[in-house]
Amino acid sequence: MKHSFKAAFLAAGLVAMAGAANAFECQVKEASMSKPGGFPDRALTMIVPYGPAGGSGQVAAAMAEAVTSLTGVSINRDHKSGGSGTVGMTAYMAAPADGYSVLEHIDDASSAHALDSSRPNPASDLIPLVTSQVTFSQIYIRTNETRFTDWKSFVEWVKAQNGNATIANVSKEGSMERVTMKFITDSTGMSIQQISFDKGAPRYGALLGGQVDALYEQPGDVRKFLDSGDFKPILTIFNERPDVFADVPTHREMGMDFEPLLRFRGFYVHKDAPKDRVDWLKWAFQRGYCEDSYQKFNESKFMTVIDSYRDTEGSIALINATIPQYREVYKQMGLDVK
Amino acid sequence: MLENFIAGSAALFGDPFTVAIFVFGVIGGMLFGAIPGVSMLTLAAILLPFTSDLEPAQGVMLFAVIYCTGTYGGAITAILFNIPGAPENAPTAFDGYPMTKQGRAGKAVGAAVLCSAIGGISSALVMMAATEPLAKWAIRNIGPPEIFALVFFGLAVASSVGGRTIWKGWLSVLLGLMVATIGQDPVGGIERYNFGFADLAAGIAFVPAILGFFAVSEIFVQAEKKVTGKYDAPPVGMSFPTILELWRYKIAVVRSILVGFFCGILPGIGATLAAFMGYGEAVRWSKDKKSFGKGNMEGVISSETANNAATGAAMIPLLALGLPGGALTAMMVAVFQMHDLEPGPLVFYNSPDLIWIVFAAMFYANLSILIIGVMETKTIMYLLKVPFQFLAPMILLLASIGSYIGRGLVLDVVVMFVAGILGFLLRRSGYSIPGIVLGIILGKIGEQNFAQGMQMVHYDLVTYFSRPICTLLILAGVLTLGFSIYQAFQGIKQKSPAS
Amino acid sequence: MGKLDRSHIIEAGVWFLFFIVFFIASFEFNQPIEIYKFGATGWPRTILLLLLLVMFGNMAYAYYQGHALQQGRVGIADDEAEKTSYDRATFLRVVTALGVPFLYAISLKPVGFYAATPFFIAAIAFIFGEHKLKNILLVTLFIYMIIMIIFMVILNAPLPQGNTSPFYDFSAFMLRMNTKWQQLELW
Repeated sequence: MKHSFKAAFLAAGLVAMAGAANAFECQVKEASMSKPGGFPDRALTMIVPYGPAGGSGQVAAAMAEAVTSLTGVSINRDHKSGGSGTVGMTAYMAAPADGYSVLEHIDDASSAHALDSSRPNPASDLIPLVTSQVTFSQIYIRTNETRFTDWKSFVEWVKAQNGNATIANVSKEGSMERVTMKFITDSTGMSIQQISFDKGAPRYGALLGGQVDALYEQPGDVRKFLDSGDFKPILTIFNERPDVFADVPTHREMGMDFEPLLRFRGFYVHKDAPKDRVDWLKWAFQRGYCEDSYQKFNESKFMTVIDSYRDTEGSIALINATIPQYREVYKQMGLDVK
Repeated sequence: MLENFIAGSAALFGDPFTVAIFVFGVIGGMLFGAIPGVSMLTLAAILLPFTSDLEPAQGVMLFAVIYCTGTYGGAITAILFNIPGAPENAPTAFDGYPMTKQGRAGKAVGAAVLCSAIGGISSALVMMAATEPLAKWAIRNIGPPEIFALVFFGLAVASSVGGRTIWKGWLSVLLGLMVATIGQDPVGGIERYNFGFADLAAGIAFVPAILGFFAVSEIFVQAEKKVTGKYDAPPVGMSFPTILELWRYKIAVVRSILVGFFCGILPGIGATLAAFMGYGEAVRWSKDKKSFGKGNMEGVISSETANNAATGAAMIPLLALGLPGGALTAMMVAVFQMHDLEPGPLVFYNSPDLIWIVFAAMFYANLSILIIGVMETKTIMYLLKVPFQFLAPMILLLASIGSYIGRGLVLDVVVMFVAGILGFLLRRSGYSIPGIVLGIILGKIGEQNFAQGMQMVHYDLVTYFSRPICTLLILAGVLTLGFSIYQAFQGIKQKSPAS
Repeated sequence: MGKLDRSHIIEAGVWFLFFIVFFIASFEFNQPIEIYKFGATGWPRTILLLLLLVMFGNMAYAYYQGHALQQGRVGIADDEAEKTSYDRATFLRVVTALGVPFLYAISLKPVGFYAATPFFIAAIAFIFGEHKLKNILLVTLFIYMIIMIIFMVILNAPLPQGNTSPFYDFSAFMLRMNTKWQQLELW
């Protein structure tokens, strides 16, 4: 059973990937662009507000490699982790706006601004160069779980536990994970104890070792457990079923009516940077997305399952749609929205 | 196990670049361990960001090798200058430095070379046999409640070692725990104690704290000696002990291997506690207790065997549970993470090849202490002739870069120098610097696992204590604390205080 | 007063102050966490209370035993034996030796590593006993070059560049030189 699932899963994945690879067409036509006034004549610094190991660290490394191989300009990654991305953001805002330093950041920057408008708004205080990863979340259980096997039986079982069932996630106050869990518990009427693990391994280990009953995560981060057949998704939090997860119901199909919050990672430059430099950076990062090395990376992280690419305007639209959505929920949750 | 070991050895020596990294680690660890002021931690911290360009196995292997040879290298400065290269070398200085003053430096260093190698090799062998089964068992049986219990036990033991009084030992650990609460709380991400500085949201990292408390404060002490005219350049000269001389201490060696291995398994205290306990046990079993601290070779032997015996053991909680035993093993966690790996039971699951390359490398690194150790030690003597006013800025700069590089925060350089000043002031006050550092390292792990454990059992202590391993460890911690409390009150009443 | 002396009172005062400051500051973040009963303050406040208790024990020990070492302790640093008392000039020099590295650290953000480091090397060499100008200059140049070769040229380490003019421009100049140098090497 386990093996057949795994095989079917892998086959579906391969088909989807082949499809995605064929469908992929680079949105930036110009294969080269001359450097405006010699910019850049030295290495760029990319501030990454998270550690080198996590999702941000990896996407920063992959994009830096792609941009360097495209343009020959080297990029030094400067990981300023801590404070859920606020420390790196603060350091970036204090750096000179000459286009030599760029920023990697995730949707947390948008939700942080939604909660406290004195924090930079990534759509207006920064210029998005490209959003290169957009993904959705899923709920996972162990494949060998016997107490429940799919979303419906899971909800029933959780309800029978009277709030004693557990789910591992990253549940910082106001985080995408926490807000989505609120949507889910509100619309199903179940109550479940969320347990916050800020590092990946203990979070996955907790599900694998039976310390918790379920896991909230994005598919790219648990790919190796999906490939190994240890975890299986029972709910996709997205408006439609992605091909790779064609067997897994979406939250809408299960009667939950809310707009899914997406995890997105992208690259930014300070809004006061000279325009010609910003244009060059936009070209370099948007074209960098099309490099084979970057595409291969995105595929390995399940990031081609749904459309991951947003150019500057697309990114601004995504951020501008996200902020009010969070602000609304925060008010409902009784958080102090500034 | 044997075939895995052979496969690991083949992978290690089959690739010239991997061999080069191995050799670099062996020599670098010894060199940085043996240069006063910097330690294997400095080298490790500086190398950390660059390991992302290596293969995961190469990166982790490099750190494991530095750990083995650096633990030995730190003994050299402890013996020659009374500057332990790392906290785990501190007891080595108790008898090693008096031996140097008696003109027996060579004997002490020779004993350290041999015993480090013996301790390390036997530990590596046990590690190879025990880690994997332990890891497989651990994933089912060790959850947040057990990890919290381990941290609690570790801190209970740590607080009873190192201070002039138990009260000061406890205050040191509690100070470290408080420092660890700066930053975001581990459950809700709420900012605590930022005192208006945005960067403090990142919390206090332990690498700058360690560099500050040990390396920088030592430089400050030397500077003070310069200023007050008390600085003497160390004497140089050595003759090594004979095998026959060392054979007399075989029982001390075996005892220290056992003590070292047991202590090494405890996360968070590992090699430091091992060295102190190895030394303490040597004193306890000796017929001539008074000769310790005055140049008894058995002191050096016990301490150095025990701390290297702990290196292999410390890899068990790291690899099996993802719990670092000390600063260097904590950096290994970062090496793993840079490669999208997490140490813990899953490593055996996902990358067994990596594990066996690392195990093989640790075995050979300990073996190479014997060969290279003797040669390198003589070279180091020349380096030590560099005048201090030139060595000091170099060491301070390396330490600054070492602490900045980890997270790219200037805050960390500031923290390092503040820790340096604090360490300088606290050294003569009877507080335990290793205690503070352990508090900082374990504080966050402890709080997070306490919270997760409480959430898991829904704040029901009966369920919490229905987990046997958790209960056992908490009980062990409570007993340790109870005994310490008894000692603490006995101390208040003691009649004829030791001077 | 038993065997208490002034140093014990100061010691207790420092701990008490620490307790007060951290306890009061904990009200800043005394907000509940929906999924965790003990909130953000539970853990730090427990530690603070323990710290207060132990501080009283520490005082009691000092009251009965003064500075005496507790029997049966293992692994203590024996620096206590070396009591140093300095005259005013020496004291000032020690304070300078401690203060200069600290100043260097806080200057890194505005000034940056590239511009601040030469001054730091020279200052440390001077404070630690080198008073010949020629030697100081040579050592500064030598160490600066070694550090730059290792960390900028070979390792491309992202060191602080500063964020104020003209220091940032100096960092930019250094990095531009590095880029040119590396392009030369490629050819």
